[in-house]
Amino acid sequence: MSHKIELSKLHDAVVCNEDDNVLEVSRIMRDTRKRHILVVDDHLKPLGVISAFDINNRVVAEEKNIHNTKAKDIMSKPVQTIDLHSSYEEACEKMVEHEMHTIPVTKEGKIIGILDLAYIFRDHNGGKNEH
Amino acid sequence: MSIRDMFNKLPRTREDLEAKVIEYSPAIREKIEGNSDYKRKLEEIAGEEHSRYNPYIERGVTSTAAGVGQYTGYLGDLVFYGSAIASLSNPALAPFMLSGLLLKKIRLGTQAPEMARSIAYGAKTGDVKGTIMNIAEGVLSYIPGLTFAYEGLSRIAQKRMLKRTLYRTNEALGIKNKRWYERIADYIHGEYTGVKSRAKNVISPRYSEELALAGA
Repeated sequence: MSHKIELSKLHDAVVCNEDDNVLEVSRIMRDTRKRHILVVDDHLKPLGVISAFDINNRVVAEEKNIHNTKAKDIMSKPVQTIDLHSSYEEACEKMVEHEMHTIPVTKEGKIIGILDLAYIFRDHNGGKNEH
Repeated sequence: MSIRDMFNKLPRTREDLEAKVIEYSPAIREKIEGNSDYKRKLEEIAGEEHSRYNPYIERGVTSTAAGVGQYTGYLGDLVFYGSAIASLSNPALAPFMLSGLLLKKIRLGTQAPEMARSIAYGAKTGDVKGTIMNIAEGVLSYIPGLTFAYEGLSRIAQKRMLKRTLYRTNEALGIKNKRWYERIADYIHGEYTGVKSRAKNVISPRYSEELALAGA
């Protein structure tokens, strides 16, 4: 049997609302020193992800208005997530399949944190240490 | 004296420690300026922490030997790589690399007592992580070119003393120990416009139920 994801091992997730404008999104990223931000709806359901590249390529380079352009207009979607009740092995497989080094973790569809691939390899040997 | 002290000087005396705590924490400075009792509380905590860590802050034969050893290590690195580069044009200089290695061996010998002392440090202060770090840095810095990796027991003790004083003073003065995004906001405040703490945008796994996103 594989280990289930532990809540205490997750990192904080930085999020913005789908209706936040790009100015606000870029300021949240600046104030939290993150290069990626999760876009969620009013019920904390993850909808997409925005990277610093997205802001550069889809807003600045396209000369879009930072006040009128919303997070949902420039986010990459869908966003891959994993449920808290999944195992580290499942999380690892999903991250490898989608070439991600972190994955948002949800509980009943709501975002509750971020799981880091480095943690899985360091402490769980890809979830295969029990076999 | 560690070469790091030239760039980032850590407190040695109790007075230095108090000054550094005030410098690091604007919240503590504000509290102290408004109430002299808080100043006494800081002095009391700094005094206790200083007495606890002072025996391990550069003094005595072991520290002096380790300090001399550190400079011997830098010289060893210089001789090793200097002769390695020089031997490319003149192979006769290659044996001088062994002199570099010999100097590194001398360095390890002079720092061994300090590394042994770090075990006593860990046992007495409870900073086992500091002990492990000191020994690991000592071993790593034996590799030619990596002398700088050794910061010395003194700096490990100084850092720990400062951290504990800050933490305890915050608790005693009723100041909340800030979370990572609050510290970032404090750090970049004044550098950019509209900087603020983004608590509402951070979903913390352990507090996710309480922290709802703005507009949720």
